[in-house]
Amino acid sequence: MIQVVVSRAPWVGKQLLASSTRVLLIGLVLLIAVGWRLEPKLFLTSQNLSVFSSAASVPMFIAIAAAVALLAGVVDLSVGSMAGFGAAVFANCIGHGLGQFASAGVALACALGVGAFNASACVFFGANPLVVTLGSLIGLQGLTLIVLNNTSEEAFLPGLYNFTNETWAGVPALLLLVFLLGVMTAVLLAVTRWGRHIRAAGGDQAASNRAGIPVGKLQFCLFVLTAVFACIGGILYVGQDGAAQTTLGVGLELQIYAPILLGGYSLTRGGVGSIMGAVTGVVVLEVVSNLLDLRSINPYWQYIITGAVILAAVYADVLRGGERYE
Amino acid sequence: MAKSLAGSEGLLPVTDWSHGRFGKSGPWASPGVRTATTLVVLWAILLGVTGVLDPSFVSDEALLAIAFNMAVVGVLSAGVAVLVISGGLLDLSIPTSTGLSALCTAVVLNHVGSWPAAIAGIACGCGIGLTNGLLIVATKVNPIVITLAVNFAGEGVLNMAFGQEFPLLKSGLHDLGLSNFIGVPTITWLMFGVLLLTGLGLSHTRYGRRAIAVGGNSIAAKRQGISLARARIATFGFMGLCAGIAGVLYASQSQIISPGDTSDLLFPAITAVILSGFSLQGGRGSFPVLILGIGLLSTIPTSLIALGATPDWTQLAQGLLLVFAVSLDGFRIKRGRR
Repeated sequence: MIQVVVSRAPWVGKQLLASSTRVLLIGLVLLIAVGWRLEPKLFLTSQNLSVFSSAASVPMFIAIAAAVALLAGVVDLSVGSMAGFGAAVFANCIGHGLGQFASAGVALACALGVGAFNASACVFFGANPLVVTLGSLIGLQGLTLIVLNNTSEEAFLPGLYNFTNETWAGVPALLLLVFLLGVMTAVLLAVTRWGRHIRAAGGDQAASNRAGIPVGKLQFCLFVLTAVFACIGGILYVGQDGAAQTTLGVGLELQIYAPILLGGYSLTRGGVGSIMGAVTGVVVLEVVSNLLDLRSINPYWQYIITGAVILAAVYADVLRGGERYE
Repeated sequence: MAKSLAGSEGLLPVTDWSHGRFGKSGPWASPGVRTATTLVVLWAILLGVTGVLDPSFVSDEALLAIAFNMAVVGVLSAGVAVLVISGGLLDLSIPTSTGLSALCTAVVLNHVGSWPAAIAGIACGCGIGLTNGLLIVATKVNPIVITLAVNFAGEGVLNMAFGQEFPLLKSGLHDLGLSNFIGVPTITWLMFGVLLLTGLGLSHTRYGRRAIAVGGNSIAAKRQGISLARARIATFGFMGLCAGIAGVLYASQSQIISPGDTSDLLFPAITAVILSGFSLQGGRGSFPVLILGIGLLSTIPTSLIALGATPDWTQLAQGLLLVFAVSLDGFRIKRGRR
């Protein structure tokens, strides 16, 4: 008699509200209370909500893809530059008289190429993904400047602008949609086989390979997915700002990876973390930045805070039993 | 032979002033000699193509520009090379540590004098390097992640502390930075000195051999009684020292310094080291080959400008070269494991 052991899929609620997410949520509530106490007239207003939305929506959107990829152990530091490059290509195509959708198509094709480039270096050649994507980060910054010819490119699209600034019953539509995308991704990761494969591939590559999960292919696809999401993020930025600037996306990678790490992920191993944690992390970091803005504190404090958050988050991962360096 | 000694399984990996001598069938079998030849050929092609397309490139001015660029990148590479050989992965905080020490030098130079300025700059670099080392040893977090975060935080400090631009007064340090010795800038000679001392120190002192041992096989090194924590702090401190020296050299040849100036020094330094055959796995690498790598990497910006390209192309080229170098290294490690 052959015994078949079927492991039950984890409860979806556990995916949505992991313990690190709960801690973050408590922090968020405290933060909002502090903000409300400090700036009672400015903080909890619909105007500030739309400011917050325009700052947080796109990083959150890219962070969702980056978080899924990180679950499988795929780190892509070039997401920020990719967003800038995607925006540059999109705006440049619009400037050359191409239609909206054709321009978006060209930009997405570029993103596919960049993703495949990163992926082949890391997956086929086994190069360190942190260093490879650092290389493509600087390379893409160069490409962005070349495409934009060192000036910002105007590209005002009424449709896209309205979409990014729309509100539904006082709630910014884009923020709501991105949040729903995050919830949906978290649920899909929990209930589908692909989701479990992704988590397994990041948790133990060798074991997953033996279990028949195509780890290499999966990681390749996730590199491409991250690049494509970053590119869409760049296009959304063009919609928001009506132009592609040369500095767009500089430093965005840490604005994305710091909250992901806050949400319980690890940069050096996959398999841990929850999407909703990453989403909450983005909200927390953007609320901090919003508060700094409202109180007109030197914006460079944001750099120091982000750096400290990364250090604290990776240290927390080591304490949780993550990979130790020696 | 060289492979079995220097591979990850070897107890005491060799450093390679002698890389070429132990080839199985003549020197060509050795990866060190192959890398060196490739770099020489690439460098010659780059110089040749630029020289043919733009004859004014083969002038004293362009070559001097390359030599100046080489000086700063070279000193940084010495530090990165020691880090990589000792298995410390990389230091991504180079832009801020170099920038902060350059700015420290500038401030002290304008208010006190040349010697205190140099000391202040070097001390500042050392401080950041030691901070990195202590953080890594204390938290046991991957050095790439730690230094990335330190760099980001440091950028904030750099911008808040120094604002926009910082003009430098004329001084003794400036005279040194802009002077020549036998037709080559003095600071380039200084860079060669740093590289020579570092290379000899690695292979001929106890500390150097310990660093190599830690990089080749950290577990074996630990069993032999070498303190990993001390080795890490020392190597990151040395990296900081090099960044400090590089910052002083940078300040000694500029009229104005601004916070973002040093951001494009990281990539040539890292790429030169990895392209010269230093493996990110640790334990192997050759300093004579490194000089070729530094030469190639510091020629790229000057020759691209001579060819009429904007500085953006330099960024693109550096990014692509880094990806290429890391892929090659990864491929070698993968093949070595099989």
